[in-house]
Amino acid sequence: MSAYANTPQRPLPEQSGSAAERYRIKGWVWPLQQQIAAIVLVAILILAAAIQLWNYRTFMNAEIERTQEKHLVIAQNVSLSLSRYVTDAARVFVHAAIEVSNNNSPATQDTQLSLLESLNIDGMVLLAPFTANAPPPNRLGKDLPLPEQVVLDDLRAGTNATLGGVQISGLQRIGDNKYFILGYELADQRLVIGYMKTDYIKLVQRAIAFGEFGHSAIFDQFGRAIAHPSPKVEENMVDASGISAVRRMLNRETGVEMFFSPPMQMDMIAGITFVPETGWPVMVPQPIYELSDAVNVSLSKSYLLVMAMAALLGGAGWAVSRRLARPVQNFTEISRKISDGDYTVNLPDEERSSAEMWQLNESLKTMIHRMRSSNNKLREALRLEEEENKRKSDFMVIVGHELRTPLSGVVGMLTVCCEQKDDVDRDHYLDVAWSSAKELSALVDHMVDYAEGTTESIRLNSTTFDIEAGMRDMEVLYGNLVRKAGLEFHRTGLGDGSTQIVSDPVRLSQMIAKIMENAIKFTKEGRITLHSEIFQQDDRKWLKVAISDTGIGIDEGQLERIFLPFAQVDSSFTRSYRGMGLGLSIAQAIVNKLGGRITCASKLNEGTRVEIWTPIELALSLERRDWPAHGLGE
Amino acid sequence: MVSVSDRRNILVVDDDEINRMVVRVLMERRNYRVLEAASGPEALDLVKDETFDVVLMDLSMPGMDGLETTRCIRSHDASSQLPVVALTAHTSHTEQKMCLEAGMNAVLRKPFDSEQVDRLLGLLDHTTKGPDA
Repeated sequence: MSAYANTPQRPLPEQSGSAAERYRIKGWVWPLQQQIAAIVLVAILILAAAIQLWNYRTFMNAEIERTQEKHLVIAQNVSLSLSRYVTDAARVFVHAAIEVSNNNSPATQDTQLSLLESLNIDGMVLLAPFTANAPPPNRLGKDLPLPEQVVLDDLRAGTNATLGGVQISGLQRIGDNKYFILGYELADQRLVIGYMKTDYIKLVQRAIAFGEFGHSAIFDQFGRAIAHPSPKVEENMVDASGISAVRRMLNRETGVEMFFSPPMQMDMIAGITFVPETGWPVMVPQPIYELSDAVNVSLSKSYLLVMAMAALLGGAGWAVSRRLARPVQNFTEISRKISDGDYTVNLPDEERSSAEMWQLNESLKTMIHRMRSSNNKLREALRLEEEENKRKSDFMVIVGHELRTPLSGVVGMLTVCCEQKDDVDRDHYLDVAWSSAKELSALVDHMVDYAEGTTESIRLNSTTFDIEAGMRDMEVLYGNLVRKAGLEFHRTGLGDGSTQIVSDPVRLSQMIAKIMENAIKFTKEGRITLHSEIFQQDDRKWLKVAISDTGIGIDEGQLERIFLPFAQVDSSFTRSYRGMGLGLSIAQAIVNKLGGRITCASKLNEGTRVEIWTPIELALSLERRDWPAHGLGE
Repeated sequence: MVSVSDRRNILVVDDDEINRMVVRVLMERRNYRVLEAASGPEALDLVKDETFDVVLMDLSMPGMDGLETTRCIRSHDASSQLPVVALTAHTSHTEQKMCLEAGMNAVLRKPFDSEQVDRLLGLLDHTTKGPDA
């Protein structure tokens, strides 16, 4: 069968197990929707991180800018107040030194001392020039030991910071206290020294405190700590000149510096400046992380914004992934159904989620349509084949029976003859056997005719012959047969003159024989008419042969079946008529081959009329050919 | 010579004349009196009027087939025990079963020869009295 011709070249893989087993994913394959959602999520996270980082930088820069100004202003204020203090202290010191050197009365001393003390200068010593017989130092105020000789030498040499003629040494530890030694050389070359405490400087330093660790720090002109939030640093007068910020201040620079603070153990940002009169570095540092804290407050606000945005994008991403994945999931479900042989799936009329899905939907629709129709065709073909097989096997039963009936006549009669060889009626029995044998032979002929017709092996042999003479021969042949059956016979139309036509006389006579045979078989009384004529239609000449009877007729419902092979087939025991029902099928096969057509009109219990139309050509040849008599076991 | 009254009666039911003729000749040679019926109704009429020792019944007949005719014969008290033998060219198992179900006693397959006929008649002799008994 042609439906089976397109078998796949490659054998399909064996399908086994339940549907669930078949569709279980082997290994780890990510569902489409999750893949899309994950990509969107990662993209959002990267974007959010980038935005936060950018925000952090922006905020930090703004904060540093702001801090720079603030710290520097504070440092400059500190520097200013220290500048005033040391200027005042220097002036008072010079004034006191001159007063005391001129009038060393106790009253003067007390007055000057109280003035000095108000400026945190603890005491004053007048030193004669260093000679062998120099008078002992003249002391005022506290009895403090003299500083080291080096310090005194420096003061005389004037290598220290100088303020209105006053030399100021670096910070010195004298006894339990720390002092700046002020030096002033009188006109008589005596050196007056003063002990200036750091209390005021510390006071100023302590006044500056902000944030958690924001503070100020003040160093002497050598970079040693004067006042510092760390007591240890302050106590030990730690030399901080190694620190970049301090070095810059020692170089009399003003500005902002970021540096690592060893005592605080953290990164600091500081406003830096110096006291112009003494060169003391003044710095106002703050840990950078405190700035970060401020930044973090801003950042957390922007963080909320970014999270809101991420949530929005995430939602959108989820929606998009659903929109993309849903049709794929639908199509997966549909193709699963199809592969399970269920063609009843309904696809959406239009799939508008994307252009690709739209096209996929269309092609799936076409595919399912084709599969449905080819499936239907296959079923129809199978049904037809089953019907055909049924008819064939019915046919075999009928053929067997039909052949057996005359055969049993032959065998029966020969049995009779053989059993008693001297029977007087033996000749009669043999005659009967002979006629049964001929009937058998005719049946076999019929089958051969039919086989020929259905295998399309009918070979036509067109020739010129006299159709009218042919019809006269028919009249003689069938007239006898019909009358023998107790019926009337009439011939009308052609048959009285002579008309030469070109056609296949053998096949024509064969067809007429089959139809005539049916007419005789199915007519109990009345008449059979053989009519023939030649007419013109559609630029062609046609021969029409019509055979009418007054027989049992054919039920309207059966009429369309009669040309099917084995139409008479009815395997019940009550079948009234013998024969295999091949006659009309054979006639139809022949008429088709001749390019004509066969029609049948009938009414139950009134009669049947079968018409054959065959295209012919008229010939001028006068050559007479015999019209062969065909078929019928006379 | 056996007298006419001693001869056993046989009824052949078949729509085919040749088949009836064959059976008639064979049975007459075996000293049976043969009556013929060409259809079921004809057979039923004869069964009503005559007494038969055996009926040979063709299965396929127009109108009323052999099975139907046998059922009718069986439905009458007088003929309910009458041996009926199917004559048929149909030989499939289902058809033989149908025959027995319809009340037939045996099946004789067409075409048959003298030997088969003798064997069948011998079989019937065992169940009924023989012609010369």
